Amino acid sequence: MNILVCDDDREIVEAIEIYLKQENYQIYKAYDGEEALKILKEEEIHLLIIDVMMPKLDGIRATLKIREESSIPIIILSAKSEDTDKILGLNVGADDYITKPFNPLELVARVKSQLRRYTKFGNVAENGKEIYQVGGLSINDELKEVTVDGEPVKLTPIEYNILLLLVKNQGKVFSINQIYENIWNEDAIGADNTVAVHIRHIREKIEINPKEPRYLKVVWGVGYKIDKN
Amino acid sequence: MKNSRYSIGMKALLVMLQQIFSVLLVVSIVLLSSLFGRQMLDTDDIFNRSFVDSGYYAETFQHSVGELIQYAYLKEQFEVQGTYNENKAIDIFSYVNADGIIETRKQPVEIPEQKFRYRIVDLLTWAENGYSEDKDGLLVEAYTPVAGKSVHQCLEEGLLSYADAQYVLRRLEQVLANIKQDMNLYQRYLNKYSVSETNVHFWISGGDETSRIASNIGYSDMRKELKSVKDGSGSYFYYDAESLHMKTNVDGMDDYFYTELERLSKNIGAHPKIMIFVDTNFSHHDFFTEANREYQRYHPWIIGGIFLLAFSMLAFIVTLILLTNISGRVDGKSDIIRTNWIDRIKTEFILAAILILIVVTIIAAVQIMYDDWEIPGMLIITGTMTYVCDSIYQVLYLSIVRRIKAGILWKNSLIYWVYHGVVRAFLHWKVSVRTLVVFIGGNIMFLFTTYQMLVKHSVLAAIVWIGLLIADAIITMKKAIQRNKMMDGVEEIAGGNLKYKIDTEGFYAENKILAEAINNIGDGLYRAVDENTKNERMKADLITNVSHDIKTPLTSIINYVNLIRMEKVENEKVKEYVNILDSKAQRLRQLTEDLVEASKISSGNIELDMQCIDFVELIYQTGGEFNEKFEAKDLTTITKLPGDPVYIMADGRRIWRVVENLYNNVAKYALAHTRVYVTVETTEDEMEFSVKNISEQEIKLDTEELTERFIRGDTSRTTEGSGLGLSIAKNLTILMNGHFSVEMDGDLFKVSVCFPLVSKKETDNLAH
Repeated sequence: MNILVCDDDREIVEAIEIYLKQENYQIYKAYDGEEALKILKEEEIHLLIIDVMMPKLDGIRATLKIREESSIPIIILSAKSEDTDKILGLNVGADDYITKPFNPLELVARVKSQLRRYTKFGNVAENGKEIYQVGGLSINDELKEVTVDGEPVKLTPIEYNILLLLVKNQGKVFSINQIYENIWNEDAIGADNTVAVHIRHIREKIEINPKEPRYLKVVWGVGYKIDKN
Repeated sequence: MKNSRYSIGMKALLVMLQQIFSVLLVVSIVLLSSLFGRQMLDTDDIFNRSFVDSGYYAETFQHSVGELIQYAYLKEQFEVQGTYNENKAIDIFSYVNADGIIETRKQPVEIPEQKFRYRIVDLLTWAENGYSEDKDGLLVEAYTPVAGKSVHQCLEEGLLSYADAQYVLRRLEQVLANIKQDMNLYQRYLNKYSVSETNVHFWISGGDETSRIASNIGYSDMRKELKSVKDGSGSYFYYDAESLHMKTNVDGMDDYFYTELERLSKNIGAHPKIMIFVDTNFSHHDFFTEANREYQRYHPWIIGGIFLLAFSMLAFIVTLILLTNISGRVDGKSDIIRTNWIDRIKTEFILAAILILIVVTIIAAVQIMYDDWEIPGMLIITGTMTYVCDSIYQVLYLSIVRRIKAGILWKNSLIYWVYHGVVRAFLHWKVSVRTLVVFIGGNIMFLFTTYQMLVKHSVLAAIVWIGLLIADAIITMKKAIQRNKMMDGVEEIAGGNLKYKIDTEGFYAENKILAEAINNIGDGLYRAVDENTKNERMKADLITNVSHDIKTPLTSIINYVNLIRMEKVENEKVKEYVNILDSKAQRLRQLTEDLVEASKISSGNIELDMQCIDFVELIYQTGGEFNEKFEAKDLTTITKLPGDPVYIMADGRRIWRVVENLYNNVAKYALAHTRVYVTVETTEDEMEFSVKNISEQEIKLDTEELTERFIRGDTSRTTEGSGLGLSIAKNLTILMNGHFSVEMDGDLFKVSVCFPLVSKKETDNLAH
């Protein structure tokens, strides 16, 4: 697997290289957008990690150019942490957006996730009725098996049922009471933290960063939901 | 050229041209009107130069017919056997004067022996020498009638009654008054018509046997000539009172005859027969040829006059417009109007002068019109007068123009001067004095008019009385409206709309001063607040930029610290140091993030996505998130929540941030193994969420300071956290229209957050 890391800060590039090499990835390095484009043309790259604020060609414009001819996973790595910056990055075609300073382990996890989805997705097409899929999250209800980017995840029965309920009703927001009534099959009398705690546990298991969930989203003051693809 | 548009030379030239054209205009008008008055200007066909076709000829013809009729009966009275005889005796009762005013008396006063007949020569001499009346109002008799006895004599002899004598003498007096002029006319007509050198042929007879025939041509010749008229070489007039036939080929002659001459013709005889012929070849030299010559001389002036009129009118208007335009302008200074001494005279005087000038002009014009001037003389006098009047008028007019241009027409008026002086003096007094003066003055007027109206029943006083009442009502209303406007303005500004301006248009002076002061206060506040928000924004931007720059090296630090940890380090001390580095790096990261957030929130530089939120649900969700953190410190949460949802309007992620920060606070600073009380209570329209816990350390700050940035309960600042949590929570709450308060009672620490509830109605609406 070949990964191109592009950042004008050499130390950051070096550090990322060390982390990713430990995971047996082949690393290419670039220090500005133009260099990145050149390497992308010359080498077979499977994933790109790119900074936004760079000389010559910035990450946003580079991403736009790459997207004209390639669909490889792109992770933007930026010190800009505003919502608007994130939305811009994802809109121009990036697959993920990580803010600096980042947790190296999280970066590695996200790289893996992107690569797995990119490379393996074609194979997971075992078309059974009982299989539900949201992005990299897949539930096989026949086998009671949950995988994230192909990796199996172990859930308790209640957690599994909650997740299944949300996945089956993608886009719909469930309040704590509704989840309780659905899963325990009894009226919620003075609900408590139970459901919320379960939800947090599920997030910790299926999300790379539970505080910024990709699948199981918290709608504060309303409930929980899993977005449609 | 452009530079000299407003030069003195240019202006002088224009003034001169304007004067010339105004003179030409008036002269052409006078010329045309006088020609028109003389029947020379034929409005039907001004280009027809033929004298015979002209109204002037028709008039001359009509005039001479009239003269001939007069001649016929004057001749009858003054002549014997066709020649003048001064010894002829005239019966004063059958005398007819030229204008036909003294007519033949049907019942003359007569005495048996004599008629009152006088010799012509006696009458003429008598009239010449003058006549007078005696003390009884009777004519003093200088001559006696031909029969011999004077009127006085007849009276004395008792032949005449006194009334009759008086009557005879009065008649005699009338004859004396007229005979001189009649004789004069007779002589003129005699030499005008009874000569061979004339183009006029006439044959006039009284129609009865006794009357003589006045003519300068034989009857048969006359008939011949009248017949020859068909050849087109003459004009004629024919009238026979017996058969009432009237025939003429001259325009307007019939009309003129019946209105003017028919009456006179009766003086000729009982059945007058009139035949007049004018040879239009004008083979003889007489007054017709004179008229023809005059006509030929003046006719070209008609065409010329019309063109002159049109041209001078146009030029007059154009030069006047140009003058109006350039008056007061100065080259190169488009915004300056130059005025001179005459413009400093009060406007009313100028207007009065214009008025006087107009009156004088009209009087002079009328005077000239009524005087009988020859055309050239008339033109000269009117031209001169026009020049003078126009020059004066121009000066006055242009002064008015400059005043209007310079905007001083009103300001330089006498009324304005007086009014302004009075008003200014009045306004210089204090408001209290002014109010007093108005009050006293108003009341005196009111009482006076009331007295006049009720006691003296004066209608005028009643009108003034009503007027005063209305004026008072209007002023009071206006003042109230203005006060209302000012109150609205103050309320608006107090309510935060610092840009609000009171419209002071039409305000009374004292209200205006007050209203403007209020506007200025608003302005001042706005400027101060604006400056403040700008500063906050700049601070927020600065912090954001700096934090970006900090984040990049921080990334490397975190990455490499982590790398060191991944190395197999045996040295325990190094491990400890790396741990410290890691925790501090993480704290630095948290700090930068919180700093950016706090500065943005406090500068109001964030967008809120307000939605209807169930606060109870939020607390459950938060509880789920913090459950393990609390357990780690053995904190027991005592939650007291309503069974029903509590709906408020808030931005979901931001309200979560508030609650999260409060919970984090508890997790960080609460004393281990204690209870934490989380309560949500609702009132009619508000909910209060409170978190109470026992602080681990003594809090040495007051509650205000706790929510200030960078202040934490522990002044040593050794524990984790940025110290911004409470500040962020407080500011976010306020931004979402909530209330945030912190209370302390010893070690008991309580934070309350209040939000207005969404009413039942609104909740239902949102649910649908």
